[in-house]
Amino acid sequence: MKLLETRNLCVRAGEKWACRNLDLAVSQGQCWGILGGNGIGKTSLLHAFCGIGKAASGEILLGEKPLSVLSRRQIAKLSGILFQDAEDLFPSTVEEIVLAGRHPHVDPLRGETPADFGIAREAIAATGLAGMEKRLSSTLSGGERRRLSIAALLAQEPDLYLLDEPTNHLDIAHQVGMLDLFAALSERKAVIMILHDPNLVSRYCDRVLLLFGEGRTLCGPSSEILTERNLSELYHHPMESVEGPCGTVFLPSIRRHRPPA
Amino acid sequence: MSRAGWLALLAAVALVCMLLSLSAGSIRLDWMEIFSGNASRLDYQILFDLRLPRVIDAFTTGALLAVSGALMQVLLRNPLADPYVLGLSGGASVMALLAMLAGAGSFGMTGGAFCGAMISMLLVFGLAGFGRPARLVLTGVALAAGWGALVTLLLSISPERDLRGMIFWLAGNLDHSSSPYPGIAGLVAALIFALPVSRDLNLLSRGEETAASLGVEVMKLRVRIYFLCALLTSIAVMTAGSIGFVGLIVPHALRLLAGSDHRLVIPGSMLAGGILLVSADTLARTVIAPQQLPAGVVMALLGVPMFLYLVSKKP
Repeated sequence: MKLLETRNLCVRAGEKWACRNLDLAVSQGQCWGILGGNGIGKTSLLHAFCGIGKAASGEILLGEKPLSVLSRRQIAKLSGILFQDAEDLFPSTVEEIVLAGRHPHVDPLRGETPADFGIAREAIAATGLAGMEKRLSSTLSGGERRRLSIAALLAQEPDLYLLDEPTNHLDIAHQVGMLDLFAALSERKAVIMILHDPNLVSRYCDRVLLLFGEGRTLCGPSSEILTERNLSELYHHPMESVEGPCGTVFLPSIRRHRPPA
Repeated sequence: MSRAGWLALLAAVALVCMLLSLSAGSIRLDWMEIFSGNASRLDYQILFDLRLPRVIDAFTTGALLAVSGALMQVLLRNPLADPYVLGLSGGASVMALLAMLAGAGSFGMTGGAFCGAMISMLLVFGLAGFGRPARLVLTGVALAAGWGALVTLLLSISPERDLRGMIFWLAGNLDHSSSPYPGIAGLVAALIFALPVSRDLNLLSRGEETAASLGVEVMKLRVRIYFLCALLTSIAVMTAGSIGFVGLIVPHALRLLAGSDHRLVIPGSMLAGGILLVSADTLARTVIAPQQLPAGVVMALLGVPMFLYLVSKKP
């Protein structure tokens, strides 16, 4: 089943085009990576996918229904998004924030059911935040706050996960832990994530979308799209591939300036 | 303490405060006689015609201001927001003072205050729309400054005999209210329109995009809050002039004590705001009786140290 489909999609990022005439089909069981330089429009595109940002033209279908006919609540059941940053006006507890992720499923008049609390507890445990339920979000570290946002997204239980740089603020162990978690989820659902590391994309994502700027895009299986040439063009910087024990690794070439001996 | 526990506690305190306020005054009422029906006609008149309407006015005004403050803080994404931040009380003050200058009675003044608040609200809305909260705040603050200048201008050109009344009105007091019903209607409106969206408010305070991504129709919610706040604040200003402080402090005090879940903050603010203003008004009319102090002044004198203590106690 196609969880996300775009037809002739054009999205603007400020004055520039993030993509022009993009046709994309994301099916259940797929994990997509989005790569592109700073300010190229990755976030704008991700926001357009779930209707938080506007598309300039073209069509977006979520769960095979046009975005325009879906209510915000229906969209929130189909897709969930992890933002780059979370900003709290008033400090809330870890438990409250994760429970807020259940919002699209909660009857506004009846409030959360014991099942909602159970799902929130599981999400808190899965992100390694067990024991911090009553802590205020303002007392958490950057990495803990990142995992809190991920826990809230897990509690939302959408079909399509849109992740904007999920590894931000996380140490290496937690980066791998969270990406493993989403890779496992993508077997039953679908994941689209913006990353800045082509190696994480090549290891976790079976498909990739490259945004070159000026609206030019390239998408397809990671193994075909992730090449030295494409990545060098993508980042306007020469990239080298090295064969390692876990497959091909991409490294930016660095010109070292060493003082003469 | 649970949500229900906090609300029960606040409701009990509110009831006690109202009973104390009904008893307080230069004439002592015997509650046993009143409940058994043996009290004199004068006693009943004092209770039902003088004290009860005033207690209701104080409670509803405090409740409306506190709940508008809680809503405004979320709407404008600014913890410093209060019901007056968009210039509503300034507009109300100017029109009420003009009515006073024109020789209109208390009815004309309350009408003028309500119209002024509404005019101010429409001005802010017309100029700023529902775009970014920052624009709404800046427009409101600029308008409030303009209204403030007009108030000072009116005070400086007013004849001596009107000045005292004007300053009393501006300081906020419960002497001139003509009917308790608008306040009660406001309370009902607040419960009907704010309570069902209190979960959505929790999400909105975490960011507009976060709220939208979790299924909140953000624009609809903001329009609803804006007009509800404008209505509630207008009723409060009409009833008691501009009483500051309640709207800013009560929601924050509640958040400090009981957490920032709006399913508690909204009804809790109403009860706590009511409690605070009823207590302040009781003191205002008894401390140096028969002379009365402006309730707004008493409240600030009581509330400021209480709130500063709360803030300093929290880590």
